[in-house]
Amino acid sequence: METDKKKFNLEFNNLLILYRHYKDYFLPFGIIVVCILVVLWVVIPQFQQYLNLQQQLKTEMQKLDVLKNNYNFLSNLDSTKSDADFSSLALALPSGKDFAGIMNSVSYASAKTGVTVGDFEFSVGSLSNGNTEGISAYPSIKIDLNLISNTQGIIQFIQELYKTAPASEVTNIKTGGNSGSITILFYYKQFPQQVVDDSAPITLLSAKDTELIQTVSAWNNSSNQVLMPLIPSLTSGESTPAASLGNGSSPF
Amino acid sequence: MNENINLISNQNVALEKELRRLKRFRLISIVCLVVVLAASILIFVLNFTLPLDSVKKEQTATVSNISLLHKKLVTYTLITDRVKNISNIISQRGNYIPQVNDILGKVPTDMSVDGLGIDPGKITISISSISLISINKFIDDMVSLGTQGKVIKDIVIQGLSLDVANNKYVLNMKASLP
Repeated sequence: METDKKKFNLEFNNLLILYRHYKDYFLPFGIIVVCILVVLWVVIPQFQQYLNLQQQLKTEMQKLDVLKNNYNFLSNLDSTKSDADFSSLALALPSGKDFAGIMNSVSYASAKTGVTVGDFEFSVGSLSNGNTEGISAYPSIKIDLNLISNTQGIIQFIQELYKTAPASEVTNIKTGGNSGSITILFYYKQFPQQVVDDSAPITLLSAKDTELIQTVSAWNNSSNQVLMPLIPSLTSGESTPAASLGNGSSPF
Repeated sequence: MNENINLISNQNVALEKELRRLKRFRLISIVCLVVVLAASILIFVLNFTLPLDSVKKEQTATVSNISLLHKKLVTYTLITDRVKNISNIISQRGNYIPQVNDILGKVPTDMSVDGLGIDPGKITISISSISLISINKFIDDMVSLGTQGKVIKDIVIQGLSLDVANNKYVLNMKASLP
């Protein structure tokens, strides 16, 4: 027991001596340890947070740029012109079955080319299935049209129809002598159902798209002036002379 | 001379060495402290001064401004939709008119087109003339067009007959459209 007590005293004395010898080192050592801990627990996480915030800021700045561009674009957009463009485009590619629009187009092409339109027959087709002919992605109304003209006249009629109703496709042509028949598909497409996102970047129309709008608007302005009566009549007089309606060139 | 007489003892040298070490250690600790303190303050200031909140506020303000122009945005979106679809239809539809014009452009003036038929992918044409030379020239031109393969291909002459009543030759041809 006595030996154990002496041993303990000796060890305590040793520790005391060591403490006295190194006590001046304790404070700097403690500071260094604390500094290391601060670096590990505070500085590095803060720095990582800074990098994350930088990245977030970059993303938010990009979003803000998009929004500002959208705002500037929409502020400078002429609403009268865009409404008119939309009306023209909606006539060119209606959202539903536009029989009156189809008859207008046929009437206008007939008037401009001097081709007399005879009997015609609409076929709406299946309302649930896709197209069996033409472009399958778009629903269409099919019309079989009898025309009284020679081959050249019928070809001109089709060219004119492609101008007045650009969303149409002539799938069959049959001519012989002074008459012929053509099958035309008039496409339509529903308006998109998705919600317009204010923060999504606005896709600017290309020069080609703008040209298409201008051309369609020009054709619509002239074709709207000629209306085929929607009530059938027995008279089948000559069409309006082509010369009075001017000429237009088609990119199609 | 007695070598034990030494005013600078070994113990003093060791003590000085110890003091220098301690001094260096203190200096290192102070430098560490200053550096860590400066880094902490710098990062705090950097984090604090990042204009994230102001950017978000500006975004909110711009979105509210855009919402006032929502009708314009909807109209423009519908315009782009119509333009895209019309362009698709125009590019995908079968437009045989240029080919027909090319073929009709090759018909000599003394020939007449009696009939023309176009079904998806094929064209039939019936022409007549009083001259076999003109018909021959037309066939040569068609063969030339067919060789190029841009306007027509796979030309088949279905018949060449003489219409005695009208005193003219009638040519019926069929070709595939590329």
